[in-house]
Amino acid sequence: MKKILSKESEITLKLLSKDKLALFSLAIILFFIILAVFAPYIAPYPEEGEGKPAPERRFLPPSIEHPFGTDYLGRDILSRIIFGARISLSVGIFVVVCAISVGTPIGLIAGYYGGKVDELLMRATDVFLSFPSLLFAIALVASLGPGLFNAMLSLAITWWPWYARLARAQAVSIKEQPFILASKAIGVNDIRIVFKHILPNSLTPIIVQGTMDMSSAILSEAGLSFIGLGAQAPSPEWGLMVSTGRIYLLNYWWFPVFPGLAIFLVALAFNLFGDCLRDILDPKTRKSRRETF
Amino acid sequence: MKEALVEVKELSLKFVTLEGVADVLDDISFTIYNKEVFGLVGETGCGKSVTALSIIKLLPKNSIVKGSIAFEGMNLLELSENDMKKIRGKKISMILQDPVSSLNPMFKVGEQLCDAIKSNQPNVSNAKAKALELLNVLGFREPERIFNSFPNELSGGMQQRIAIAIALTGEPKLLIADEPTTALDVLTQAQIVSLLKDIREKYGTSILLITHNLGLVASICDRVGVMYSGQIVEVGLTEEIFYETRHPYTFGLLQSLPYNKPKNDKLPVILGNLPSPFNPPKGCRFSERCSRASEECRKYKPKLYNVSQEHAVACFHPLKAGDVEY
Amino acid sequence: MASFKSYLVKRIILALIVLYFVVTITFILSHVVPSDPAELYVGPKATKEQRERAVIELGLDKPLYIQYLNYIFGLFKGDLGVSLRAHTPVLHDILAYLPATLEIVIIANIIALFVGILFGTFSALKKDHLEDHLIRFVSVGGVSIPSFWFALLMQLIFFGVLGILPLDGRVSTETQLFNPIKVITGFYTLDALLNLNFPAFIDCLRHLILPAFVLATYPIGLVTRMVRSMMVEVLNENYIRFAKANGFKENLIYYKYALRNALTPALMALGLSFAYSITGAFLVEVIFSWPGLGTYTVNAILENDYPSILGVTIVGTTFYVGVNLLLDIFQAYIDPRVRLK
Repeated sequence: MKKILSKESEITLKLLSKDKLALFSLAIILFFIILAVFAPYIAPYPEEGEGKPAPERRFLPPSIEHPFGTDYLGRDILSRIIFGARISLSVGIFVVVCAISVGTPIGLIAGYYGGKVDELLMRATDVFLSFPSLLFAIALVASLGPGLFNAMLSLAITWWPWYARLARAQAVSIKEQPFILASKAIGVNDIRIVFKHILPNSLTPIIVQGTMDMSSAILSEAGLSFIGLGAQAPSPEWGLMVSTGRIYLLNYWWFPVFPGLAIFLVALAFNLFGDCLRDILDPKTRKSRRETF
Repeated sequence: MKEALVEVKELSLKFVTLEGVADVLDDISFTIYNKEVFGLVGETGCGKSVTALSIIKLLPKNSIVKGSIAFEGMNLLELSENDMKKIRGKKISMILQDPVSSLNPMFKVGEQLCDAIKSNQPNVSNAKAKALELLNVLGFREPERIFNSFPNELSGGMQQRIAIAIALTGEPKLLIADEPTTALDVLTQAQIVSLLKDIREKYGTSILLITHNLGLVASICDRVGVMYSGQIVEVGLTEEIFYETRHPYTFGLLQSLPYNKPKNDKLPVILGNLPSPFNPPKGCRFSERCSRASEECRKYKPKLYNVSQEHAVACFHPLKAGDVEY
Repeated sequence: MASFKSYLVKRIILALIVLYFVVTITFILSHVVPSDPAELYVGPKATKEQRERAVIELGLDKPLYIQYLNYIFGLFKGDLGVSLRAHTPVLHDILAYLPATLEIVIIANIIALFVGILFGTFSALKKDHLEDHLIRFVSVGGVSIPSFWFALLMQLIFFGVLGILPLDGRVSTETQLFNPIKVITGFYTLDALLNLNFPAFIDCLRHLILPAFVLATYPIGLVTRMVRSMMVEVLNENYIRFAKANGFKENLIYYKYALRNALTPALMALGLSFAYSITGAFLVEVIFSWPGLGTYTVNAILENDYPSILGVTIVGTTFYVGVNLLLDIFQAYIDPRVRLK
């Protein structure tokens, strides 16, 4: 089985390397990761990036010293955006990893065991899936108080059901396959079957969904910060910057526009990459690239 | 008396894939006459289905086709897609192996049948009446009920019959049947077979029957072509193929049928596997598995030559009449 | 269609169960609140007696399970509690602000449905060609763009630079003064038409364009992508190949057969996007000062008015569940395979 996996991965990588759109979006993602990791060294005004005001330089339009201009406290917007990358990316990773870690095992177990366990778990996911995630986030954050962590938590809570559904669908289709039935016949432990055999084969849609959810997580979190429920001042979080800058739109447009542009680029990159990945990994669309007779 | 309906000449087909270029059909030639049932036999993967797709020109985008397919004075391979659309359903039609996936699950059978009639016989004023008539001809005792059913409410055999009905709406000259009975049980198979015979009688349609089932071939085909790894190795009248077998591969196929054999003997098997289409052998493609193979077989490609008026074989060491005992 | 009826019943029961849990969770959330609701109710300058009276009035002195039961029964009566700042019933407030939100949400989704199906189908038919890549870029872009930022950009361009559309609001002050609309349904555009007040109608439309358009970007992206991917799948299906092989007219194949098969995911996408619309509308409303549920909620958040927030949550979720229920039922109606699940 390991051999089959690596042949598939080989072809996947080959196809990926030929897909210009995938490479382009991957490049953007890597670019932002580098920005986030090396922020203090890349940002031209690192302390302003973290929040230190420079009131003598308020509202400067874009120039060579300040390519994105300065904000209402005179802080260099480019530096703030670079530092904001740290927040956005960590939010995305945290939410997606949490949601996958909780949702996948639940889904796999529900799909594998079926019956009452399945019914129960699926009804639970139905309840969570019925909550529009932003509404639930608003309700949760309103109860617990605003803050970045609460925002991330509420997103993770509303998102794990998706992965549970995905994992369950995979488990249901894989568990009927001969090699699983054979393992059962030999007497392999159930948990072992689920995690060693079913899990690796279920990863494909989960990975695709996870990639695109990075984008949704970043967008949702930016939205929450925009209404004041997420990150708080003086955090260089992009949504917060747009929100603060909003009233200056008509006079000092660079203040809300550039941070929003950053949100757009990151979200776009992850979505594009996920889209390309899905086209490659999905057997139905892949067939047309690898015609067999 | 016998007029050629379709003449396939030196048809070759390659697929361009990520794993290389697959040599799927290698210069095949055969003829289908008017009002006959021609069987194309061979193992899975020998290229019989793609031959059918080549005739009706529904090959995937990564195909490279050479050769000619003569039909009614035209070379089908040179026709534009627009011209080809005038032929599909009206002069040449096709039924697929899996009847369940041939019909659109979201529409009632009657509606699909009527749409076929409207597309292939636009001059018919009452499509529904014609549809019910067709259902009748195809042996349905309650045409109205069937007309109003969804495909998933009917059995596999019924769905195949409806597929055949749709294929006949244009009264085509050639019906291509790709493994029409493989997905069905034995009783339904017999039903479909006799249905196909009736169609040939009633409408004068030629049938290209693609199958790996030799029993089916024996019961309905007038002439047979045997394919191996993208090549036609033997072609002739059904009796000639079965009783005057020349090609070692054909012989191996017939030998592996479990009829008239002593009970405890092992069934003879042709050892080995189909050669890979990505790297086909230079000479005869069957040489690796053939007990009669010699050096010439591995170096040179045998071409079809006639051993009687209808019977041709492509082999350097064909079996002779008398080699075979029944 | 007996199987359809049984599916219907099953689905409705399921939706009700889900709603019950939603309501309970909301109740639990409302009691995790760190701030003191009674204090918020009477304000910081209230006396001790006023605060105690507030506690009794709000029912906070009773044991938790009694509060829960009152809560549930109250919901049946349509009682969502009382707004802490305005002291008005939450349900009443919500219903007052709802039509404004519905106006843009409905129009945005209608736009999205048509544009999405059009783009998605066209994209699938021209797969791997330039048109496909362009449309794909646009649809992925639509799903990735932060709505609040896009709204700001639109304001900047169409009001700030070009000056052809109004900045915000539902209706201009001139119209309010000189051509006021008599409100009938709460949908200003509709009301203006019913009033035969055409200048007001144009004015409302001009105010509506940008918010509805911005709100439509995400659904357009979603519907386009889903329709395209399903169409591509459908076009590869055996029944399409069979139809082609047997001479079906091309228009029939693509626009009748393939499209019907692809409609299901379009509707699914619409269901998802509707959920988004409700919350996405919040952000858009804030930018455009659109007096809808979003503005109401955001103000409630800023003032810690938790009954309002939770009331909105319940109403919003009920809407979402209801819309999904309707879409599921419709899907089961047109696609017989769904009923067999």
